[in-house]
Amino acid sequence: MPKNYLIGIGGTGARVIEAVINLCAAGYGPEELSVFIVDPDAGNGNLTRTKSLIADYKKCRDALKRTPDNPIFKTDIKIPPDEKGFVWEIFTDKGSTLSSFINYENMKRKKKELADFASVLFSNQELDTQLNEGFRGHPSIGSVVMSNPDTESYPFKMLFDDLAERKINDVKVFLVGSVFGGTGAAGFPTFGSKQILKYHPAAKVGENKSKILLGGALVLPYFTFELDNETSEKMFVTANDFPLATKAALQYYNEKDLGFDEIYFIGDSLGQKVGKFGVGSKKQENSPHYIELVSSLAAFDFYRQEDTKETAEKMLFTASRESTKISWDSLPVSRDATVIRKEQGKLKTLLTTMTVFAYSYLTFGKKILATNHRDIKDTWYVENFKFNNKDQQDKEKDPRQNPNKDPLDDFEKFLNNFLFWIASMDDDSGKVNFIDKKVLMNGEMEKGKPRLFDPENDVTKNNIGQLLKNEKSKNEDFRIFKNKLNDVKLDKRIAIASDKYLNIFYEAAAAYSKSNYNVESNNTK
Amino acid sequence: MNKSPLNYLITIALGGVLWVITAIFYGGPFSESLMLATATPEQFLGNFRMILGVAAVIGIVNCLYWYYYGNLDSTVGDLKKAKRVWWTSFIFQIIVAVALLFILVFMNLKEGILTSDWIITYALISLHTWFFFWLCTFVMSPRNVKFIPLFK
Repeated sequence: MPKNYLIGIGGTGARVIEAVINLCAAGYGPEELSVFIVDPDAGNGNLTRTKSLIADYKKCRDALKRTPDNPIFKTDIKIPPDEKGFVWEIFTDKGSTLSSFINYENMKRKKKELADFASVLFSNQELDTQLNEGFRGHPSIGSVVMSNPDTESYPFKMLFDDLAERKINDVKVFLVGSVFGGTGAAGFPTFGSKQILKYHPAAKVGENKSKILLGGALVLPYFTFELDNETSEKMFVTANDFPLATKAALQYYNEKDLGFDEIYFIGDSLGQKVGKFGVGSKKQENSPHYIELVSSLAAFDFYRQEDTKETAEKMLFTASRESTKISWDSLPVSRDATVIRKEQGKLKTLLTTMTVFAYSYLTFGKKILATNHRDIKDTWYVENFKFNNKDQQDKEKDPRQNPNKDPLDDFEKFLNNFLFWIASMDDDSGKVNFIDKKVLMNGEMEKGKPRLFDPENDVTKNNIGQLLKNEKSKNEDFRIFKNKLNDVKLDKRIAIASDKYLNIFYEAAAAYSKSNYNVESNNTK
Repeated sequence: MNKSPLNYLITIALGGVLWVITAIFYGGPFSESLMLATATPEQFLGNFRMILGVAAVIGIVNCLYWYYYGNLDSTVGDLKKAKRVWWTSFIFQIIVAVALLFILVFMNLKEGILTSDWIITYALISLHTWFFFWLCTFVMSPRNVKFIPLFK
């Protein structure tokens, strides 16, 4: 089986990986995926969010035994063995500058002509700005410091270890980063250059042949942010710089012969706001955006190729919207026109089902777990959770007690973040029509703590039937969902209480989504 | 057995069979065994069968209502209310049993029937009312309310 690698570069890379993880959680992903990130800004809010999400994903996946029809968390996501190795931070010292990286002071003394050349290429500000919070929209700095990744230490060690005993194009490496910022703009062409990955001695197999099939999604400007007028930083990028940076970068990609076999150019003209400006570190935490979902779909399309010629032809992909509105059937899910509708249907089904699952579990599911076992008369519960809660031996059959409590808590955390992610794509403009956040939660979203509407309340009991924005549905209320819970016939092999609990909710969510939203659950394989 | 119309049909059939057993097969010998002051055993038997018939009809109708109510989509959304409905029905059946016994007692006040015979009569009426309701709903309640009946 080919190995799939996803390398996120910079803040946008981290956000695309966040989308990939959420899609994999919903069941839309390859069987196996190895992931890591390149970002000098280890404290970057986007990166922290993604790291935490991957850790939660792995906990949930390890804990859950799924029924055969349940596709959630099917992707085996691999990361470097230690958490620190997950991100290549480039600099080992805090307060690193370009000047310290190239040993500029020493250079001035020993090789003055080289130092003079460096001073022509870089301004004093570029040489002396601390880079632990990224390259601040100056890719020329990043390309210098990223050109020599250490293949003997993680995370690149993971990739290079995997190259041994692989055939031509057997390791599919997909890079994702933005063209308009700092880290992504620097890292994308640097890692895309022929000698670093594609034709690295460990990957090269003869003339113009490599074990690595190299793809990438180059994300063009797709958002704006509010500028913080009180910032004391002198060197940073603003949304106004994006078009010029993009133009220069695209000109570079057009002229330069890079090692990419396939590149997806992804952008958006809506210019949605994704939060306040932050140079880097914790301040750089932007709301999820649908373009990150689209970039993830590009990666999955790349991994799906089965027959790749030994010397792959270079391919460039672009897709554009037919109107200003984005809906399920305008998502570019595949290069193959004959399967686009099927793939769109599959994606819609899986994300709808996952949303219904997350919403019902986080509301009604949590409420049941907070209720005394003996007071619960719901058929699905009584039939599946038979135990004497006064008997110590029987406690492991109680979903409220460990070993069941910890996995359910992990799922609660993950599903909260999933709802935050999917609902964040609804930006109130009415142009992005996936999940309607107004029927899902009350007020503004807060990451990890969405204030979800009570589905058993008379006023909001219909909300579960109206989650898809601007889509027809039967508007079945939450009582119908409860009926679906009662109808679930669980696979006998699912014996652990937490597995039973989660599978019952997922299967009911799948049945409800099929009935209310007319999404096809047998379309998800 | 908890799917409609199977539970409806079984309940009606069971109520009918129970009435035949209690009112016909058991009722004949039972009325013959009584020491009646003025009335004939046939007169008592007529009243006895009528009272058991009324009890059976009320018991069956109450079960059928529970099945109908238990199948409503709205019921699964409010199981606390469903529990109240079941208990109200059950207590109503006990009251019906007592009321029917009193009616039969008043109809035969002058006959001098022994207390032990009235206890047997109450047991037979109960068999058609609260016990019948409990048994049928215990075994044949719709899935949504399957665990609402007492001791389930």
